[in-house]
Amino acid sequence: MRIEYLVSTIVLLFLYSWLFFPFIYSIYISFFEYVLTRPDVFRFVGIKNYVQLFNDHMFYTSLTITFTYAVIALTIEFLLGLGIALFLSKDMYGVGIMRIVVGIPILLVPAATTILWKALSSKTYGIFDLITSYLGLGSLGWWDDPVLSSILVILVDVWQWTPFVAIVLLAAILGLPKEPYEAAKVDGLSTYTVFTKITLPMLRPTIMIILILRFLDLLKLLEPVLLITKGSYPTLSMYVWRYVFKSLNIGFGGAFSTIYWLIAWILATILLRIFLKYRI
Amino acid sequence: MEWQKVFKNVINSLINIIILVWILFPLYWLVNMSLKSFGELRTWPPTFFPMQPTFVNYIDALITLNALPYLINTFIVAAGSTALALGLSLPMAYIASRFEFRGKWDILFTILTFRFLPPAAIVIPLYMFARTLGLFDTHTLLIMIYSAINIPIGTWVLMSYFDEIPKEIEEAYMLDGYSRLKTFLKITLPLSKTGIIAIFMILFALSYGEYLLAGMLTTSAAKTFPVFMGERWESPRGIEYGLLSAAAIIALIPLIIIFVSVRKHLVRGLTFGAVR
Repeated sequence: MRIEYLVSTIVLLFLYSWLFFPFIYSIYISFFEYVLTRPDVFRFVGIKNYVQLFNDHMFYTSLTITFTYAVIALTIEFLLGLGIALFLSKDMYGVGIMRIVVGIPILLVPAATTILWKALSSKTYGIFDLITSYLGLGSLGWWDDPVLSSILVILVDVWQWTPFVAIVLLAAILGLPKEPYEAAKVDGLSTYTVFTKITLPMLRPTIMIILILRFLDLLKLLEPVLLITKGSYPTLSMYVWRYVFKSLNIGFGGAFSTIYWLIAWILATILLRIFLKYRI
Repeated sequence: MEWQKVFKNVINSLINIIILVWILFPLYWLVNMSLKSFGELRTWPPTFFPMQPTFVNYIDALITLNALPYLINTFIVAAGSTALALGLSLPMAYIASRFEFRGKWDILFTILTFRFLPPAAIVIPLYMFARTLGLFDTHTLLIMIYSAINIPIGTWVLMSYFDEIPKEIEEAYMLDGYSRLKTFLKITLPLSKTGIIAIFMILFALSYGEYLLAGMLTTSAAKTFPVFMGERWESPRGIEYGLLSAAAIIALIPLIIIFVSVRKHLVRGLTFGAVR
């Protein structure tokens, strides 16, 4: 057997056995009425769970909100991350330390990041309110206001995951071959031309994959939404959290995850088509 | 000419300072909170230094609540799953970058689709699966699931790093009689060390901090540190900011130490025998 197929088979078998079978099981269960609080009832109901999902306006609301969060956060994280990566790829005093420091937010346990920002924005003893009261704005009440709490959710995500984008891109930049840059120096190209004509095209594969990965992870955004906003702007994960964990309606949860997976699959296919089209 | 250089240095320092403040101030605040008593955390205005610094939160976390076993569990799970995920991602990424074969993009895309699955949606079937196999509340279960979740990131990001290395460098060595495997181990791996370190760090941290799956799939023997934190989130007197900050720092410090040393060793280990 050829080595490429051997390796692919091992990797795929591994993924299928640990993730795919549970997922198939959840599709199967989506056609049944199955609530964990009434474990004796297990009845085939056809597409009833799907009908219920598509008739629920909260589903569409959470879909819209998830996309809004994802697009805003991804844009900020990508631009900041690319900027930081380019900046830290330069040779300057103390850059070694900076490259380590920039990675620290990734290392913090995400639950801790949320508690930290929750404390910073707390109404009775947070630093944000201290600043706004100095500025004469008084207490803003970050958690209760739907818009402010959404900004906070994006801020938490940006703080924790911009370093992820920055580090992946920085490693890519540092790994680029030196020859094109030396040639550009000989030709006397401007910094801007070097960036658009050399750096950006060579980084394209990494940029595309980091955009896809971050986008898919943002579609799963849960912890900060759950712990900060009290659900005034629920995301898709928050929606499934409510139906699977709160009501223990496994059948409905299964229908939801099937649809969710389809949406993510379609989006990633589109993104990937673009990626493959522009590959080299 | 001279003032231009000065100007550039000033701008660079300014950007450095902005990045440092943006990243370090919240962390500073975490340390600040961890050293305050519950009462002091609830005073207005909030103080930038603890008036009466106390280690009561650290003592509570480590001794009263006995958090150390959970931290050790987290380490075992994160180390095991990162090793497994990298062990499978590295050859997969290399092969995807260097070979053309039928169905390659379908295979790669299938791998990526596993990143779509929302943990909240697969956790219930996984729970039943784990119960059936007798793997509930074990390190093995979390190691397997975390590596499966992280393989898509590992494969795709590493592939993009391998793509950057010109094929010609490898071909030159293979003409000199190096086997494909030897070229990969001696030439390609060292050349992509920066990327491998970055992805190692990210995968390790992702497994280390995972909360939702660990919370549902462990109860005691394999309970991880984030789950422990989740349980101590609130007490009858309110949100435990001090305790949670101390716990967060306890979890953060060993991670920073590991990465600083891994960086050094991995760089040295991989550069050994490399071309440049």
